[in-house]
Amino acid sequence: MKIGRIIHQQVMQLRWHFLSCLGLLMALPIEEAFINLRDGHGFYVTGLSLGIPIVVAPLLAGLIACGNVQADLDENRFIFWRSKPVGVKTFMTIKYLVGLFMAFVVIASPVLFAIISCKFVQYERIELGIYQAMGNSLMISLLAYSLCFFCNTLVRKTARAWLIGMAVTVFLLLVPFVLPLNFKDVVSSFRYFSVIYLVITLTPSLVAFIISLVAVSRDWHLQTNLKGLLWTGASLIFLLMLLFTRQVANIKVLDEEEIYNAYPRCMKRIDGKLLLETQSIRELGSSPEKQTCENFYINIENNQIHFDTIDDPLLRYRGAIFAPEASNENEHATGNLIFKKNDGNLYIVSMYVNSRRVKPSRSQTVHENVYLRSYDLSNPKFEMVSEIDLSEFVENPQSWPDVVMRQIENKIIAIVNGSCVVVEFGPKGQLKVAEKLVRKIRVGPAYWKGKQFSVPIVPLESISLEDRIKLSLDLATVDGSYYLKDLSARVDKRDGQYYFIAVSESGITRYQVIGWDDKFIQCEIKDYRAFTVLEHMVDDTWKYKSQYFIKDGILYTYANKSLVVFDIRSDRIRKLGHYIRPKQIEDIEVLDNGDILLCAETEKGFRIPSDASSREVNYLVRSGCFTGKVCLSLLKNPK
Amino acid sequence: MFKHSGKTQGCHSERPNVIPNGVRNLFFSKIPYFAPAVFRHLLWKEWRENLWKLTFGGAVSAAFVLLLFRIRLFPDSQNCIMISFVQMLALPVIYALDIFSGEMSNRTIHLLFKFPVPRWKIFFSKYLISIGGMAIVFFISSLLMELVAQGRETDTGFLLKLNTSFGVAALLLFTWFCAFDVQNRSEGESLIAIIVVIIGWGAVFLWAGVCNVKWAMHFVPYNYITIHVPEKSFHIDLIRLILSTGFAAIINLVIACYRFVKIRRVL
Repeated sequence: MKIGRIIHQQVMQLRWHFLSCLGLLMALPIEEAFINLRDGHGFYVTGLSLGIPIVVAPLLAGLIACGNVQADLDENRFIFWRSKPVGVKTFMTIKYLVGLFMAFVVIASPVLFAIISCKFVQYERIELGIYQAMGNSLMISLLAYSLCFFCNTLVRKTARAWLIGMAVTVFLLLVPFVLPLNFKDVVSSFRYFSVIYLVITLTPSLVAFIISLVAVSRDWHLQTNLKGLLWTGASLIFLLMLLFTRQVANIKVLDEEEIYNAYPRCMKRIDGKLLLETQSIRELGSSPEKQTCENFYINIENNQIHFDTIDDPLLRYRGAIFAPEASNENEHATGNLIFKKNDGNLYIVSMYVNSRRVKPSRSQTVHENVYLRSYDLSNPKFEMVSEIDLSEFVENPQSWPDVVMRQIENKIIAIVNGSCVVVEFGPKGQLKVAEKLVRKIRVGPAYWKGKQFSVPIVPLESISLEDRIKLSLDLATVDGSYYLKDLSARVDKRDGQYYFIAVSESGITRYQVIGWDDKFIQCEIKDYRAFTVLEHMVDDTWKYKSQYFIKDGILYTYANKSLVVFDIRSDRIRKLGHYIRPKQIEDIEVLDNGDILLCAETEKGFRIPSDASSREVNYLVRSGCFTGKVCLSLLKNPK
Repeated sequence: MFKHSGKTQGCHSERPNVIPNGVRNLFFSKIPYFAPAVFRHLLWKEWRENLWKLTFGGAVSAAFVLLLFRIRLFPDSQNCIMISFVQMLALPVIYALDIFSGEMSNRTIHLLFKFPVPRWKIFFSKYLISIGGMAIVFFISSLLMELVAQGRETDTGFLLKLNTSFGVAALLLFTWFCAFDVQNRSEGESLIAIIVVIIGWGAVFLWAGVCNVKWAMHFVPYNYITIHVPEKSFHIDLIRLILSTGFAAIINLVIACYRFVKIRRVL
């Protein structure tokens, strides 16, 4: 039997499948083209309606495959064509290829129509993403077609074969997300990811085709029923979701407590006790009141969170405990440090940037002054104790100054635009300049090139070499963040060796210190762990780079909605846990037993009282003052 | 001849008694007041035949509700929308796939047509059991969502309302499927009919949305779900949804019933 005749027979057999699928896929693009024509823009499609055909294409490819095979695997016809003078494998190969060609023509038609119609009306703008989406769609369609083809040779029932084929296709496409690829997250690299997908689409397609040839030649037949198939499919999906979620939401919650009508601000350890500062919201009355602050002690007993009221009104109602209010509204606090002196008093040191609008247009803002100030918390009037003017280090008033502040015992290291001041903190809260360096500090990871590199040691005389090494490495990791819990937040020492961590938006790098001299610290990259596709999907990973710290060899990093914990004690970075909540995470605190206290903001919905006047509504909208709540979660130690 | 005698007789007497007699009598003893005996038997047959779909839908929905609401990967309202959307598409497909074509492919439709009962009643016995089953699944899942969520992120009752609105859309979708599916003789044909309906909805949705054809919106129930359910304002006008799409549902139901009645004996 001539091959041309078989091809002709196959084309004739598939013509209705072809036309119906083509009609289904072309319905939306043609509709959009007619709408454009009606609106006077011309008869063309740019991509608005191509989304659905691209998504539906693999489904239809599978359907064509099932229709293609089923037509000749019916019991009577099967015996008939096997009596023809053509090899079974040749016949099935031609059938496969003809069907595949037709499926590809159907799938490519909407995009071809878009290209041709745009050329015809000389409309230039066709979205480039469409071509990529089309390519992906073709690859997935190839996989769906091959698997449905194979399933139908076994099952010999169109709908069931289609369902199984599509389920297996989805399963294979999800494999890269589901596999525990933590050892080296290749899925986060686009190049590797593309190669994996190419392998995943091409290999099973080829295997399915070969096995279907064998299945037909040996007349394999699998008995199925719809009920069993659905149960199996649902179980498989459930299992996939379990694996899927296991990667990104596996830290257990021990307890959750909420405070209504308030927003969280931060948690801090003061005098051995953990304080939570919230911003309360007064009920809306005839005249809206300003927001006020209220603080609580957090008490953890038997894995239960308790809020204890603070007796001291100075501590209880002063939001300034954690961020002293600026002397005028043009000043912005950029961080604070808390000191406890021998007299039992608590002092706070904050750095302020003063900004003002330039007259007469007031369209431009200049930041001319930077101050370091100390306050006595036990003073009811909360007056400033001491002030140091750092304005001389401001280089360009038009841009916001880069300011960093660190605490080393009773010393404060304040850095403004690469200039550094070491300030001693006196017994009564006085600030005294101990050392000053003008434009000699390098902040940021700009010099990290190659596997080995050197970090210059901060040339400060007034602090020890160990602290200088820590400070230098710590400053080397600063990338957009200036508020850290303490100096050891990113640098740790283990077995006599320093190591430190840098988190970027793409992943985590672990560095080891291999030696140092008077001027430089020699460092080496030990491990790199990229964020996986799933981790990219569930939160904004670029926020991780500014919100991370190390404690006891464990790295904690958090973004808007998720907290990720890694074990960095060995050379290999290992993920320990991931916690996700649909809330804005404000602050986290690691307890002594390794449990994590997470402070988040959440809300029940934007509610404006029905009797609110327009003035009140305006006030609410402007100030963002709608009903909210603080949610404090106690998370189990992920180790 | 088919008058209700107060006892279940005939083929039922030889079946394993899955439901306790007390429960069965309590339920079915009420039916004769509004349904003739044969119709009651048809309902019973469809109930038994489609019980696995109810079990399947209920169990799978419950499993996914528990999974997603437990891990809280997304906000509760988004979880609810995701689950409800899948339910809205999957449940009508599961019910429609073999409810008519199963009878055709097994040739039991001949037997059904020999019953001394109008064909429209046979159709409605299938239709009622299907939508009843779907309603039960939606009710179970929405109740479970409310129980697990306990108003922690949304107002109490919102998830129930949201899931129910998707349930209404699912019932309408099933009615559409029936209109296209009722004369099909195999699962494959049913599947094609289902895909045609889903793509057809997309076409109508696009057309009605782009051209602002308001009357066409009534044929696409999910425009109310996708457009009129903002993320934070939890106001869903269920009555409006039902009234708006009910007309399309009735038309489809009449068409489906007519097509079922007119099935010719060419099987």
